[in-house]
Amino acid sequence: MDPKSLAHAPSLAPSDPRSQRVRWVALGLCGLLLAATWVSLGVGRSGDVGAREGVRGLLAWLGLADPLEPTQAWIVGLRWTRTLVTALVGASLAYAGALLQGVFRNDLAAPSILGTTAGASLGASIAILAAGGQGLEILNRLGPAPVLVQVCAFLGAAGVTWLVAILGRVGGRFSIPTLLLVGIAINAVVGGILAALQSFALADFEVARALFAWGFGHLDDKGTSEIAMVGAALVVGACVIPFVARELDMLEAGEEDAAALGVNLVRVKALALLAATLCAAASVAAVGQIAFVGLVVPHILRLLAGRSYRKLLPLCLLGGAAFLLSIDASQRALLGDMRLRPGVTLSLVGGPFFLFLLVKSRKRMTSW
Amino acid sequence: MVSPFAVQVPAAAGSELLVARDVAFGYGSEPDVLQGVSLSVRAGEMLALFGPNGAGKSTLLRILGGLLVPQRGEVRVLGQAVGALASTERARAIARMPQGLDAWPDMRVGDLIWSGRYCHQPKRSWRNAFLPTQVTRADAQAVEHAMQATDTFSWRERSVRELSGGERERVLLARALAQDSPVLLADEPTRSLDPGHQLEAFGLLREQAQAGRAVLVVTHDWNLASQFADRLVCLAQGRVVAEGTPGEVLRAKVLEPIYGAHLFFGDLPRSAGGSTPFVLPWQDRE
Repeated sequence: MDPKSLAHAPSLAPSDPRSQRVRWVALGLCGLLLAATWVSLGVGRSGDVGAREGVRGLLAWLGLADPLEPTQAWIVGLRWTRTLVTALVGASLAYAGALLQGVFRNDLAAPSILGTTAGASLGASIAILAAGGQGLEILNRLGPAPVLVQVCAFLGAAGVTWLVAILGRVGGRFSIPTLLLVGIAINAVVGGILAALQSFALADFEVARALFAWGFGHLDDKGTSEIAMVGAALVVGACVIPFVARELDMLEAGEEDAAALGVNLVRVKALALLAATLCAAASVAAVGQIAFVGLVVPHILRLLAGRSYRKLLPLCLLGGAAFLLSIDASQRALLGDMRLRPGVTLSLVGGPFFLFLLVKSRKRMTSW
Repeated sequence: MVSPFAVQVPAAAGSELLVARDVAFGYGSEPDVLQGVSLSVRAGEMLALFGPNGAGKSTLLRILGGLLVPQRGEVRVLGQAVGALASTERARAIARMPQGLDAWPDMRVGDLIWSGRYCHQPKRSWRNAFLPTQVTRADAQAVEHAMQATDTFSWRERSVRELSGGERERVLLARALAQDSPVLLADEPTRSLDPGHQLEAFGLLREQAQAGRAVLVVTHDWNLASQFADRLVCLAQGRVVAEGTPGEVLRAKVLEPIYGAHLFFGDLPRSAGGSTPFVLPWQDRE
């Protein structure tokens, strides 16, 4: 074969993460996100305010349309806040899940399964108790309380992830069954501590209510502080993508192999774990625990766009937002006032999905 | 055939590129895996390391590649301590072909071979963070020659998971060649290859040595080592027990105390003159 012809053969080049298939998937996710945003803006108790008003409200805020009536503007503001918080939390959790799956080299790793979100929830609960009796509005207050909740959520998430990383390592490798068992144990322990904290706090109804809210996440009554908190964490977390995506692909073949090719394992794992912890902790601090987004979204996107983290991480930002917003908007549209908390819905959908994944990988698990 | 690889060896031909001095290492349950091993590989030399199972060969190869830190002694590559090199500098100095991978990624063969060029590509910083990875002419040439040399070019679009064991070994060899490093470590590179590809693989490693690299091969195949390697080192119970040319090492007095008496020794004449020793595991059955 003529060597010159090889040098210019396009297929000789490494895969382009922006392949046509990935572009189609991204386009589809954008469409889903737009549709879910439309539904989310249009659904609510005030029937006279629809998605059109929502869009008009946005245009008015940008100075491109006449302002809405004050009542309508207030309702539209609430709906935009909820929509943005939901999309940002979905993106954060899916992205954190994909990062953890890359570091632990295991598709079953997710913030909720490893205990990262439970750790964040514990940290946030302790902060709420320490701040004392400020109820659900704690994050919208001025002063150190919201920062305390956020910092404690991060410390709780980081502590649990660190513990899982230490205990889940057998002979220098992450053992899949050990990781899952450590996750189960940590979730059980943290769940017990949370229940105990809730019992102690029963005397103060507002504190008990706030703690309960963190157990099964909810997206009601959110404000701009939650948008700022989750959005800032997501922007900072997403900045690590160019520094870890290719390295996580190389890590798939084993840590020793990646190190021999020149990957700085300490840097890559530290960056990925910090970003995942930051995003998961910010989400939990803002809306409470919402399980399985970090498991379901990366899994579906892997099937659609392939395994490479260069594609998966950016797509998870889009896919997570579209997924959680679709779940929230559709249950609000279908169930009306009967609606469930998104954390409950996700547990009902995600739990069976996790079981499906376990059953699907039963053959492989016999050799673990 | 002269290797197409442009080897940039800063030292003169024949100088020691890889040196291990008094290396000792142990795990918790096995404290004496390596007990003061010293060896060196020169530019242009191919050294074959062999020994019985559990002798410490793979551990030594990890230490030589900078993936494990010895508890005593030191390893120097191109005159520098391996432990002092940054991860990409180390990979530019030492390429490693492992026995296999922990998990075979669902990746194109072409992409797996391209990952050998990771250490040569510009380090990511905030300036280039969101730009596509730059592929230089040297990258493309190294990958192209590695694919040609290992006959893997036609598989470049296939998934690594679709390949047989022998095909995967050829892909790992291609990746190590694409790394284009002055020191090449290969851990049992012919384990799953048929005899024809075993000869090709050793021939390819020999070419790398002729092009100026220092090549160290761990193998159980004395006869391939005898044909292709300049020197043989035998490791047993964590120590170097024999070192020399194939004619010096592949002898009954050296191997029988280590492997037992079930060996048959002989010499095959070479067309260019002289002879090559061979050893067969042999049990005379009636």
